[in-house]
Amino acid sequence: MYNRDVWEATPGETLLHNTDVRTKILILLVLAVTILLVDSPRSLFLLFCLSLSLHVAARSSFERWQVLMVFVLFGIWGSMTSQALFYAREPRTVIACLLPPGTPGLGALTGGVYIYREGLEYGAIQALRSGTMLALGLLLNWTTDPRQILRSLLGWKLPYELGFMLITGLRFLPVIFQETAVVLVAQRLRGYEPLRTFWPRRLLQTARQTLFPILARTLRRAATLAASVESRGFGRGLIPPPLPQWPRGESWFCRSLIIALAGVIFLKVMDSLQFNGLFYLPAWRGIYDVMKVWL
Amino acid sequence: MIEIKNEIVAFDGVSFTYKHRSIPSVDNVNMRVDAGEFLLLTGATGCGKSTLLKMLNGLIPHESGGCLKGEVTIDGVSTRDLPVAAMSRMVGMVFQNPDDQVFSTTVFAEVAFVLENMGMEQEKIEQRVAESLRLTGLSDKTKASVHSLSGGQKQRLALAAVLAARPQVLALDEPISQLDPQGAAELMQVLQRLNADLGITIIIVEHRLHEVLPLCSKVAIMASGSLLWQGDREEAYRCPELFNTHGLRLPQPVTICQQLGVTPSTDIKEAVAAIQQCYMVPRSQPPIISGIPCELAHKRKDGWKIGMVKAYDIKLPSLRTRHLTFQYDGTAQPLLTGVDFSLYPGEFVALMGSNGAGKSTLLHLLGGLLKPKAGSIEIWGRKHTYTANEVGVVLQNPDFMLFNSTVQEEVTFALQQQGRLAQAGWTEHCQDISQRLGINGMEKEFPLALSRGQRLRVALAAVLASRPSVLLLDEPTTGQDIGHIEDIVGVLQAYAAQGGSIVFCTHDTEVAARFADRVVVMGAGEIVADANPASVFQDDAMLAACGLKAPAAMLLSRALYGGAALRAEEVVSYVQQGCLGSYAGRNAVAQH
Repeated sequence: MYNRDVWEATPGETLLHNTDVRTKILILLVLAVTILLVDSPRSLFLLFCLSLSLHVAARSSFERWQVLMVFVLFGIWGSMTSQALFYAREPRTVIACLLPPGTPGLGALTGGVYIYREGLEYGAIQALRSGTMLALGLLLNWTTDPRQILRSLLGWKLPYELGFMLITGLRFLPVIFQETAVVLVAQRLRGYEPLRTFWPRRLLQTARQTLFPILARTLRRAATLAASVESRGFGRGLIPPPLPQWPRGESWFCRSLIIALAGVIFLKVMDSLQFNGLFYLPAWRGIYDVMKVWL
Repeated sequence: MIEIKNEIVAFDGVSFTYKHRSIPSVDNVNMRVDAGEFLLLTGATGCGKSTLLKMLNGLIPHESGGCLKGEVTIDGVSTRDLPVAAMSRMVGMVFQNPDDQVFSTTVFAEVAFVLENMGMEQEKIEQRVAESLRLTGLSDKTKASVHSLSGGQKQRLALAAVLAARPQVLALDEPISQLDPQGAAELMQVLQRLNADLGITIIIVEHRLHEVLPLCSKVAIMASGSLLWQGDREEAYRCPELFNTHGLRLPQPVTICQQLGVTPSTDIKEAVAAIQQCYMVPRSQPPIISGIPCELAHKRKDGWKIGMVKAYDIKLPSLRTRHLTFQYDGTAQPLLTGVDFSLYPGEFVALMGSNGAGKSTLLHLLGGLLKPKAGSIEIWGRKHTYTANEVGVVLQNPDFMLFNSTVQEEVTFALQQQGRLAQAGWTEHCQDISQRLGINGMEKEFPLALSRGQRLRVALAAVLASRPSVLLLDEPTTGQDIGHIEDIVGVLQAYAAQGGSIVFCTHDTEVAARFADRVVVMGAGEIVADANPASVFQDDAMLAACGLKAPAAMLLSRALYGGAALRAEEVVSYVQQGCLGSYAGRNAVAQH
C-alpha cells in the first residue's frame, strides 16, 4: 500500500495504455451516468465485472489488484453494513435483531437495532456502483500520463487552476501514501504509538500530528512543481495547444457510447412513466419486460 | 576605445521582500553576467541565492506576491514585462529535487512538455526531444518510465526538459545536492559541454563548491541578501578568508596551494606541479593506516577486502546485524543481501555508496522504518525491539519528524512519551542540546516554519534529547553549508564521546574522511568495504565501482609524495615539515 509505484501511472503497451485519454475519460463519464441510472443488480454486477476485466486487459500488477480489492471490499462491507442497519424505506424485512427494543437504555433509545434484508440488497447495489467507479478511476490513473489528462481537460475548457489542482492531486497522492507510513514510523521511533488505541481524542492527536508534516511537505512540493511547470511555459496565460487528432475508431466508439447512453436514458424515462402509470405503450410489452430485468 | 560586452543578465539595484516579511531576502543587488559565462552563485544557507535565481525567469515577481524593487533584465528584456511562460524560452530553470519537478510518466513526455506549451508541431517536437536527450546523455531512455531512472538521470532529465526550449540562460538551484558523486559528475559534465559547445550561459547555485568551482568561470558570493563579492574564479581562489567566514568550502587542492603559497588550482596535476615548483617534496613511506587490526578484519569471498577497524575495549557492539536481507514484495531482486554489520559504542561511522546501493534501505531497517525479509538486528546483544530510546533516526527530510506546535514541545516529545516524567519538560539537557545546535531562542517557534537547516537541527535535538544508544542520520549534510555541518558534527562528536554510536549516510567524501572513524561502503545491496577512511579511500577500483571518488586531498597527496592524507591540513603539514629547509623557491625544479 505504501509503495508509491503502486499508485503512480506507469507507461505500458496494452490497448488501454495506448487508448487516447479523451476516450478513457468519456468511457468513465458514460459508465458513471449509466451506473447511476441502472438499478438492476444483474446489470450492475456485469458493469462491475467489465471494469475488473479492463484491469486484466491493462495488466495491472498484483500489488494494484491488492489495492483495488482492499478498497472494493471495504466499500462493500461499509455499504452493506450501514444499509442493513439503517435502511429506512418500506417495505423492509427484519432478518435478525441485534438489540431488542426492550433492552434497558440503548434498546429504548434506539427502538431496537435490526438487520433488514432490503437494506443488505440495497447496500450491495450501492457497493457495486462505488466499486465500479473506483475500479475505473484507478484504471484511468494507472494507465494515463497526468500530463495528457491535464491537456485534455484544458482542451475541454476546464479552468487552469482546477486542472492543475487535479493533476497535483494525482501526482502527489501516491507520495502522500508513502510518506504517511514514514511519519507514522517516525512517531513510533520517538515513543509515540499512533494506533495504540482508537479513542477519539487519541485519533485526533494522531491525525493532527501526522497531517502537519505531510501537509507541510506537500505544500513545499506543490510549490516546486508549480514553479517547475510554469518555468516550462505552462500557466494561466497559456493558450492550450491543439489536441492531437482523435483516432477515428475511438471517436466513433465514443459517439456510439453516447448514443447508447442516450438510449438508456430514454428507456429509463419510458420505464418510469410506465411504472407510475403515466404512459404505456402496449406494443412495448416485451421491451418493458427486458427493462425490468436489466434496468 | 569602448569595450563591447555581450551582457545577457543584469540585476540593477534589485531588492525583494517576501509577503508578510519585513526584512528583504535580497537587498540591493547589482550584477552583470555576460553571454557564455558559467557563474557559480554561492553563500551560506538562507542568504538569498535561490530567491535571486527565481528572478531570472520572472517567478519573482509574477508568482511570488512579494515586493520587487529594481530591474532584472535578460538580453535587454525586463522580467516584469513578460510572463513566466514567455520567459521560459529565454531562461531554463532546474530545481533541487528531481522528484518534485518531474511531471510525466515517460522521459519523452517530460521533455516534450515545454515544446507542447510553445505550440510546436509534433514532428519538430520529436526532433527537439531527441536533441535534448542526446545532449544530456539520455538518448537510450526515450521511452523509459521516469520512475526507472536513477537520481542523477532524473536530474539530467529535468535539465533536458528545459533545454528543449533552447534557452539562452540555464539557472540551476542546487542541482547536485541530492546526487551521489557519480551522478553529480555526470550532470556537471553535461553542463560543461552545454556551456562550451553551445555557449549557453549557466548560473548555478550550489554548496558543493569542490564539484562546481573547477568548471565555472565566474563566482558570486552572497551574504544576508546582499551580493558580497563577484569576480573570476582565479580571483576567488585568492580570497580564502571570504569563503571561510561565510561557511563555504573551497576545494581541497585550492586550500592546500594557498596555504603553501603557490598558485591555486582545482586540478590535481596543476596543483602538484605548482607545489613541486616551489617545494622539494620527499616521497613518503608506504601509507600507514592508523588503527589496530582486530578480529573483524577479514577477506570476503568475492575478493573485496574488509579493512582494519578500531579495536574496542568493549567487545559488545551496540548494534549488530546478521545476514540482513531485504526485498520489496513483488520485486525480482533483493535490495540488501546478507548484510553483516557491527557498530560499537563511541563509533562515528559514515555509510557511503551510490544512489540505489542500499544504504538508505539499511538505515531504514536499522531504524525500524522497514522490516527485514531475513536476518536479525541486535541492540546490545538483544533482539531489536524498536523502542524509542534504543535507536534514534534523523530522516533526510526533517519535515516528517516535526509534528508538534513548538520547538520546545518537539524536543521534549520523546521524553514525555517514554513516561520519563521527571525528565520531561525543558531540562538542562534539552537546553544544552538546543544551545549547541543553535536553536536556542526559538523554543516557541512553529518547527515547520523554520528554515531547512533549522528544521534539521530541531529534528536532531528532538532525537538526541532522549539519549538513544544508536543514532542514525540519513544525509544530514545535504544542502548545508560547511559552517552548519561543523556545528552538527560538533554535537555528534560530543554524543559519541559519551558512548553513543553514530551511523550517517553521506555522499560527501570530504566530510566522511574528515569526521568519520570508519567508512562503510555499500554497492548493489552488499557491504563492499568496511574500514577506516584512509584505507577505504585508497581502494580506487572499489571506489570507482561504487560511484565514489577519494577526497581531493588524498589524490593530491598520493600524486605529490605517495601519501594518503585525508585533510588539506595533513598535506600542508607534510609538505612544510618534510621540506623544512628545503624550500626551493618559485623557480626550483622538483627533486625526488
